[in-house]
Amino acid sequence: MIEEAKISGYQLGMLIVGFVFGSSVILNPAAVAYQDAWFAQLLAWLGGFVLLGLYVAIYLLSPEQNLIETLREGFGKYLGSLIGLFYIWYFIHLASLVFRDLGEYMMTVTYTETPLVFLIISFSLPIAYLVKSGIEAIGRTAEITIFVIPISVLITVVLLIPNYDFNSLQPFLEEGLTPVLEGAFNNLSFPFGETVIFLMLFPALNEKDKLIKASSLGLFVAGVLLITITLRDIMVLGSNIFRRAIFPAHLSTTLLPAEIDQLIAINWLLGSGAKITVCIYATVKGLAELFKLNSYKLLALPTVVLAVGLSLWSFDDLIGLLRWSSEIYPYYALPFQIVIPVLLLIILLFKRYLR
Amino acid sequence: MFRKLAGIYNYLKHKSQDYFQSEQPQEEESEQEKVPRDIQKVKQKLAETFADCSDFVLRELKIGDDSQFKVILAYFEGLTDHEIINNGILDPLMIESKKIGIDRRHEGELIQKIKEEIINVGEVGEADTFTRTVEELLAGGTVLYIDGQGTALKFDTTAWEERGVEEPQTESIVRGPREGFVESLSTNISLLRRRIKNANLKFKVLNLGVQTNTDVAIGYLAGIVNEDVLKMVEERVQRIKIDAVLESGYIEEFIEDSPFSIFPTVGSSERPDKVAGKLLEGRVAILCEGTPFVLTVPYLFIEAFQSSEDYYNRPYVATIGRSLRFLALIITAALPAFYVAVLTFHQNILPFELLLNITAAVEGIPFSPFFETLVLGTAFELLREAGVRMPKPIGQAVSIVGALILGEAAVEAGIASHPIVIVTAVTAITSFILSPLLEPLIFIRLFLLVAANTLGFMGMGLVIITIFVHLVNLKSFGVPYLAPFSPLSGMDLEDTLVRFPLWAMLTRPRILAWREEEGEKYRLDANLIKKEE
Amino acid sequence: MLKKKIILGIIILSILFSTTACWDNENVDDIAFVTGIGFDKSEEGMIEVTVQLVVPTFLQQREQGSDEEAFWTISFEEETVFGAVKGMLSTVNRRLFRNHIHIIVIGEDLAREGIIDVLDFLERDHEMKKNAEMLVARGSTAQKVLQAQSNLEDIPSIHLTDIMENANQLAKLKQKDLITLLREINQQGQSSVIGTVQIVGQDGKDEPAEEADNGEEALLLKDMIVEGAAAFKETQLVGWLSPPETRGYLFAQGEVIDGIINIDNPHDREQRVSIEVRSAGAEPEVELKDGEPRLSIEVWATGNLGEQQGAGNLTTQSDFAELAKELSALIEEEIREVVDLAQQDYEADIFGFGELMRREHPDYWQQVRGDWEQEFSQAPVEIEVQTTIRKPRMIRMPTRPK
Repeated sequence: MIEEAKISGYQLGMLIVGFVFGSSVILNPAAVAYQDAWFAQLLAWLGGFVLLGLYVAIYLLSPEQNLIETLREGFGKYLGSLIGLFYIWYFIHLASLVFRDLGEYMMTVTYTETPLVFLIISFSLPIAYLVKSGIEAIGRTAEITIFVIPISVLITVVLLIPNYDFNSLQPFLEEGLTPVLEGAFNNLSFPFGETVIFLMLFPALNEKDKLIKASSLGLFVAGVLLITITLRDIMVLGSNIFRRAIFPAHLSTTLLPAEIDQLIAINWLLGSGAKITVCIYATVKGLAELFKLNSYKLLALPTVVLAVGLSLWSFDDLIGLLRWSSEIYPYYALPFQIVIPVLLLIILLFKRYLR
Repeated sequence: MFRKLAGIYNYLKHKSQDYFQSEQPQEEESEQEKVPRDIQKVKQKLAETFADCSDFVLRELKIGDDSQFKVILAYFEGLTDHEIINNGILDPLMIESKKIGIDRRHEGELIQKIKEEIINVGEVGEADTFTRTVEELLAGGTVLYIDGQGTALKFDTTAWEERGVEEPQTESIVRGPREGFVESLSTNISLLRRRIKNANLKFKVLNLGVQTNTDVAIGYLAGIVNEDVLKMVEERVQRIKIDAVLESGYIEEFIEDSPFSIFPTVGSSERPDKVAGKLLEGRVAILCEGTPFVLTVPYLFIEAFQSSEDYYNRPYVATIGRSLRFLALIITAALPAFYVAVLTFHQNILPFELLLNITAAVEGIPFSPFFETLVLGTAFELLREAGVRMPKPIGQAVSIVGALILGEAAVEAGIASHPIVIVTAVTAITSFILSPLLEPLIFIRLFLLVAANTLGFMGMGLVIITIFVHLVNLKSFGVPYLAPFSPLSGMDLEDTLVRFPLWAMLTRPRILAWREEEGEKYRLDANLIKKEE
Repeated sequence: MLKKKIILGIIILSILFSTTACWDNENVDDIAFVTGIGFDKSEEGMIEVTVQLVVPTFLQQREQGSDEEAFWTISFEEETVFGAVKGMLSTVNRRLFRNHIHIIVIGEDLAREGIIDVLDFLERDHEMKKNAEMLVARGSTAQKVLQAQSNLEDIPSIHLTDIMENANQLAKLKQKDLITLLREINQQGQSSVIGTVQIVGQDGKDEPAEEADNGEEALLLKDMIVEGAAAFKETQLVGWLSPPETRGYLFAQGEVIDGIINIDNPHDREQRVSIEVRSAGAEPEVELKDGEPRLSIEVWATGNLGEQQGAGNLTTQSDFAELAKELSALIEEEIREVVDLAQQDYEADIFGFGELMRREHPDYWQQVRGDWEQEFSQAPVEIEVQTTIRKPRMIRMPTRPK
């Protein structure tokens, strides 16, 4: 399937920033490590580079191919397609999780009376429109919107300086390495390992030589932002409140001297929007690839509707969602993020060099 | 209904060209008949064609030594210059023709003789087909039909009342030329030629409008213009087949990229200096007979923020102006929605004292902020419309009465609150800063208002993102509408939010007229740049 | 495709239109702004919540000279705080909007029983502003404090908040906001200190208090004094700190920004000299010696000569050194007093030594975390104060008749 529209390296980087920032900033997955959450996040971030390197290597070994095509090449037509189907499920499930995260967040902190369905459907409409407009529009929309995220993070970090208590970061490794590793593991799978989805987007890049630079820079910026926010939250809230709050990043923005927390919330909206958009795009692209359709654009709306439905039906309550994202998700995502890509890389290396 | 509309749109976009191409030849054949040799037939035909045309003048004359040649002189009163016709055509025909001795022997070379020895008008031509002569008559020419000849003579006697070149009404500036385009195409072309004295400035003249036969000129600077854009413009303009082209707006609607978008993708200006600047950046201008508004394409979003004055003032001033315009865009689009969102969703965002003041002011108003904003916004649009339609002195009175007295009275009567009057007034004033976006902004304001009343800031955010997606999808003649912001084009940012000094704007807009060749891409002397490097 | 697009657009718009003025959409004149909230223990053992509401219309009328009070207080008893806040809706016609709460007052009775139940609601509520200031009503109830009228401000809560900001210039009041309190409670082995408000001269010294509608005497804020502090052990009130003790506490915490300390004139012991302390800092330290904790507080402060009474010219280097020595001694004494109070009377680690221990000696901390208060009250505390006097302000020597 040949796609004319392309995205630039800068746009890809911005998409990665938005994707990684995404919903992981709302629900800090590293918070289990209390005041060492930043360290857990740092480890996860480094792991994220390794994983991204893995994905980029897979793409470079099978250039111009998206994940489904590469899977077919690696595992054969039938097994590859089957695994591809699983991946598509993972992508759409991811989209539904992010929908739910964002919906629950909005419903908890601002729109307490508004039904969840209405909130999620409201998010989904622009996203459906965006995916339907194609990858070029996705890239360019990211280009002109995502830059708001670093700016607003910087604003909050500066404005909260009077609230910082550096002592909150101590003692380092109080409970030993275990909670840190747990936090890092959670954080690696959410969001860093999720960048496996970009294997569906790499073929759309028009500046091939910029692939490594753009993607690693995007991951770098996203990691810096996440760690900055974690440090900020720990220092503002103290490690205990940071751990106990469901939405720590939101809680610390409510302490801003000018009460602009509602405006900062646009940030989370942008990040989650970027993440859902990438997920939906990867889903429709994969489906079109799998079933040999000429255009993926027709699938955009049905896929969004499916993701919205999934997000509403997956969990009954917020606690279920929290439990899922911190306890089950890392193991659920493991095969998609690490096991299959590693296998794929080995097979591809074998095919390329040992034949 | 939508299916029908969409059908028409698709038809215009894709199929119209083939359709008209296949249709056209037949039409032309049937009408391309020769000028009849028999003068009586000519007379009859003219009478048929111009029945009930009271300003049509038909004079039967007899010329030659002994008045042996019957001729018909035809013209339109009002489109032609009496003096030229009297002194240059009638006089010589009736007097000179007798003196130089034309008789039967000269029948073969009669036309030649009249042309060369009798008539003293500057531009003389021949026309073989009747249709051509009719066109000429309508364009203000005078036509001489001669008995027994298959060809008519046409003289350029065009002269109609014109408005002098005046200062444009719509785009007034402080510093810069005071000239504006007028209704005459040739004057407009000359206004541009005076600014760009360059043989590369080309004007291709077309004839549009099946009924009106309006002259339309496509102007561009060869060597700078993007050939693809030019080709696209020509194709689209030629494709237009409608009854009338009364204003350039008619053309605009037919050549737009996205006819359903609320954003304009074709620019228009009344200022020759502005159009000249756009031509120099590689754009194509479309001039239309009968209107002072000249279209320029491709039209980008950023152009709404650029004023020709920006380039006449020093860069700092221009930069401040640009920033103010961006601020105005945000205020005029989002202020009412922001007000509604704050009052109905996000009461905590205001400082407490301000919030208390606003609450005290709103207290007792029976309507919701949303409804109030909507009503006052509509009232303002009505006032604006009234101000435009009314004669100027009354229009001003209406604005003052409307804005000052009605607003104050509404507050006094407890129908509207003070803050909402302030919000509406600020929105209204800032909306005039971005006149090219006046209409789209009305829609955006409304969308945002509804979204703000439904989901507060989040609703506004969603609408803004949707508008962004729409803008990203838009193209004007193949050029992305949001360029140079998206796709990001670093070099073109020199003329956006910040206006660089003229000497620092090295290249022509990359997105419009990119040339790889060294000599062609710089605005400045390429040698100078090399030396600096 | 286009048709679908347009129909979709119409559906979106119609959804938006049909749902306008629903759900969270709440006009600003349908909500009542709560500026202050207070908690007391009622006689039946329930929680009595008092809120101070602003009446914006009266606020505007007061500016034009009306006598109508711009605020309104209402109390409600319920088993839970949330229940009480909702229960008030049977009296108040508007929803209570909690995002502009400036001040949280806790009555003494409730504070003695423990404030943890009250704090849960404040922390859990999405609308509650987490940086509202906290006060304990010493010897009275939160209700009385919130009902008091102010002569300077239309809204008493703002008056109280402004006073608490004055604490920076006075060093007699422990300022604490909700989020800091929550942080401290969550920290292991730390007890909190909250500022207090006290009713004095209730029977009216200069002016008889205004008659309120119900016949009871309405209090005035000028009859109240906001200073001193309440010491908590975990979340229970255990005792009070007087203003000098509060200052000692603030010195130990390094929180003195500006304060006046009166000491003896070295040339004339009968007379006083006032020193303006402009910047102060403190560093508490913990160390372990033979497995026993040893605590120390190092304090440094600089001040200016603010006022001199009595004979002599104090603007000399040696006198400045003498003054500094006296100042140090006084500060040390004040700190010592509050340390003794905390160790012996309250057995509450209000200085945060436990938290420091946790950070610096985590192994030891693990052993004693259960009975740290015990350990704390027996540990020796060393206090070291260093001060310098910098400037005599505007004059070289005092005016004296020749």
